[in-house]
Amino acid sequence: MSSDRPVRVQRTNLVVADLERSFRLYCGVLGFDVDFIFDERAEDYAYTIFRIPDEARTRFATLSSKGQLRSLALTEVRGVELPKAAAPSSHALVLEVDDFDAAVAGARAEGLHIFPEETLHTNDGRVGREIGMVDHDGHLLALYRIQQSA
Amino acid sequence: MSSDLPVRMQRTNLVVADLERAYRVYRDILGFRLDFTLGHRPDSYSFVVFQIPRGATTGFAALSSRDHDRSLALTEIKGVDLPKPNLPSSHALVLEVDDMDGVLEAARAEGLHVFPEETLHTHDGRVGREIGVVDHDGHLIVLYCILKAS
Repeated sequence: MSSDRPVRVQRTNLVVADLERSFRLYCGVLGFDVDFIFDERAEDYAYTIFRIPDEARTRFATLSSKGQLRSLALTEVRGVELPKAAAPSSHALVLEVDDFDAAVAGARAEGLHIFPEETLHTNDGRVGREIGMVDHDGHLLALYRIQQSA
Repeated sequence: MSSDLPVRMQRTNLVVADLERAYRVYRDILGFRLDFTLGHRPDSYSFVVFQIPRGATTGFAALSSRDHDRSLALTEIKGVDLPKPNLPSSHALVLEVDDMDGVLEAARAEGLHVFPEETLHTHDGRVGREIGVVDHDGHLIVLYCILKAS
């Protein structure tokens, strides 16, 4: 563990078109826990740095995962058309899930695009399962579950 | 802390056009530790899930931050044109840094786009500094430091 590093990852923030639809996936299927939600205003810093048009309406939610407070944020942008995600994907979230089959079944029921599953061989010799899927907003997710220690 | 949740954020994986250039930002300026690298692996699952054209060559690096091993990955894609970043930005990496002024000075020297700084008021009453920076590949990074506890 690198406790001496001068940088700490607080969270990844994903832009989404519909917060409730995202909650179905990130909370209902994957198991994140919503911490808080608030409306943002055009003078908020998110408009500046995400370069969100002033006419858009936005909401912001933070979510927690296992042992990780507010490790994910969702910024909902409404009232303007969001660009389509192009290939290759520019980013991915890599998530370890306790119940791999349930998460994949939930994602299928949610209508997500799911890639064929692969056997995971980690750099340090562990073996598991991994699968990629694309959320409703084009964000790539890679789920994995370790089955055999190094 | 939510230790009973069934999902854990392992890392965010960012696609970059040049690993060495990205190291200058994430390792040299921000302070991530480079854990390991992998060269081009044409049978990698990344080709499938990132939808990388078969003519591309790839590289991979895993980096660690404070208290979180391999919290960031960089996937290099060469030999094909990568899509231009969308606006509004589709995602952001939110990082807590120890030396805000040192990081900003180095980011500017690296030629990154640095947004005007803002006072951070957190949801739980803390006050600090925050600033958005765009890396060489168009990924939005939000840096912050806390100056006053709640």
